[in-house]
Amino acid sequence: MDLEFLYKHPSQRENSDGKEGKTASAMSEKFSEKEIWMNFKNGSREAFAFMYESHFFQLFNYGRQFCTNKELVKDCIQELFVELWNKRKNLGETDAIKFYLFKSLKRKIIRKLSQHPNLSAHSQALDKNIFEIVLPIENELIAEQDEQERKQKIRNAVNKLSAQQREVIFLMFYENLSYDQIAELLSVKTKTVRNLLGKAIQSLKNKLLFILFFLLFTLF
Amino acid sequence: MRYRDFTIQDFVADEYFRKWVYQPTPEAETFWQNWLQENPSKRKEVDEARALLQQIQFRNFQASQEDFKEVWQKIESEEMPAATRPVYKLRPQPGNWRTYAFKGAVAASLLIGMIWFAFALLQSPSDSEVYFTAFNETKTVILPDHSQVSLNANSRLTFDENWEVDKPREVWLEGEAFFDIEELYKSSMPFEKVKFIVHTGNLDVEVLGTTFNVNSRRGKTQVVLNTGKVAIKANSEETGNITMEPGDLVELSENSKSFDKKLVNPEDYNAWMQKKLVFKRSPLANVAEQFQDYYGIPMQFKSDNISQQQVTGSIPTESIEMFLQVLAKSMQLHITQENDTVWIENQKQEDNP
Repeated sequence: MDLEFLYKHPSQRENSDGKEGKTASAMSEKFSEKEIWMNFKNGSREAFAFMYESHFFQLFNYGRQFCTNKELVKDCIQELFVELWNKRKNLGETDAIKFYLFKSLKRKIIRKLSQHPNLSAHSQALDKNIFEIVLPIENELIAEQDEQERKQKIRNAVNKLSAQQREVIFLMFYENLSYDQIAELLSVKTKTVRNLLGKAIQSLKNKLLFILFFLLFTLF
Repeated sequence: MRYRDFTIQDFVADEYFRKWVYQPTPEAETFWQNWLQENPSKRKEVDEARALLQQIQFRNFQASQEDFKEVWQKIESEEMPAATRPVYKLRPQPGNWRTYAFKGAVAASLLIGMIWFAFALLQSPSDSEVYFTAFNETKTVILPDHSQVSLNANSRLTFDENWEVDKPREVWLEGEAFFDIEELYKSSMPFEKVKFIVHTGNLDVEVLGTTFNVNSRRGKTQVVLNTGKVAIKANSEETGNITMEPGDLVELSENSKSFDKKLVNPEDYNAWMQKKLVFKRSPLANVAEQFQDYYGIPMQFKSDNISQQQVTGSIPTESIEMFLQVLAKSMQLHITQENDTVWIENQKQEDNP
């Protein structure tokens, strides 16, 4: 069963992988992404396990943003890592491991969904649910009658964004990817990503900001 | 580009700026407060960018530690060739077929192809998915219609990979499972619901959208209904059908010609999902049965009269040791384990000074 929480920014999330987390952070302090990748290519199980430990939860969350089938997402992550290990000698260099993993996982899930139309019908998230934006938890707490209307306005505004615009926001705000990396993930030009974000901000700003400000000031 | 030329978009796209909003450090706080003092005209953009970053939140799909470990174990076992396939099965990938084809002679592969094609024609569309659990393991399965099935230990659930639109949704169960079934309306007739059917060895459970527990072992099937309404159809025409209301327990034994029905507290029967077993005036023989179903270890009584002693209470299933300890304490039993069997006898005086 998936526990669905409001998405906290990665920095605010508790480290959910306990012991593994410690070895993971020790490793990331000692080595750069490029060195970890090189070690992994040279057959280091430690580096391989580190890559898994430090990215599994993010990869799972990312996949589930557009695929409702939890088992399918898990299978794709599994396949991805099995392939990584088996093909490690032939892989190129990278200093952006997370981006590399995100890209491969997305391709895998989309390929699997398109190869199996029946599966796709059940597992492909509805357009409005892809990278769905939810209201901040603080807003949910303000349950006063007149807040309902504001909440509805926010909902309407964020729902006007396209799935692609929401994906850009997700990848940039929460996963810290760059314009170029997002462009590659979405198979569009960097300029298009800038435009997508620009339009998203414009529409959010016009419809939302005064509401958001009101909320902010009532909160603090 | 300098910060003083930044638009809202530039601010939200700036990693250093985002870091200040999401993970403020004293350094970042000082930097941005100073910067804002020097560039008061930018306060509006900065505030708006901050508000955007803070207010936009995505749904979080948190994988569990079990998922984390399960996938890793599969990765480790899959690296070996000819490893176990994942439980969640897809049709063979093109790559696999190609390898097979190259290995055999062209004629052989043609023959295989023809047989496979004929087989596929006969079989289609029944590519089935099989989920099973080991002893002392439970698992949650999501069906193609998003209904949820929790599988208890030592159980097996089978269903077709492809569910035809508007056709009854069917699954086959051996063992025990709790079903949380979503209502599904027919696309052709929007007011009519699509049936969901659980087949067991001796009966079918037909529902539209409900929650219920089915336990089918040793030729006996027991159904307990939590919510909604279900119809039970026995395989034998003589026994016929029966409908259930919430709280009903219906049982059909192998050699029985009719259903047994009684009112129960349904939560007691799916307590296994919370890793415990609940007993209400159940004979120890029944505890032994459920113990063996869950852990795969037989439980024997040194004298027959013990097996009829009644147990009331809940026992955690997380570890065998704990289970036996709780049972021994509460029933004042002497429990020993030898030759993969658990032996039960009454506590003697000298055991309990």
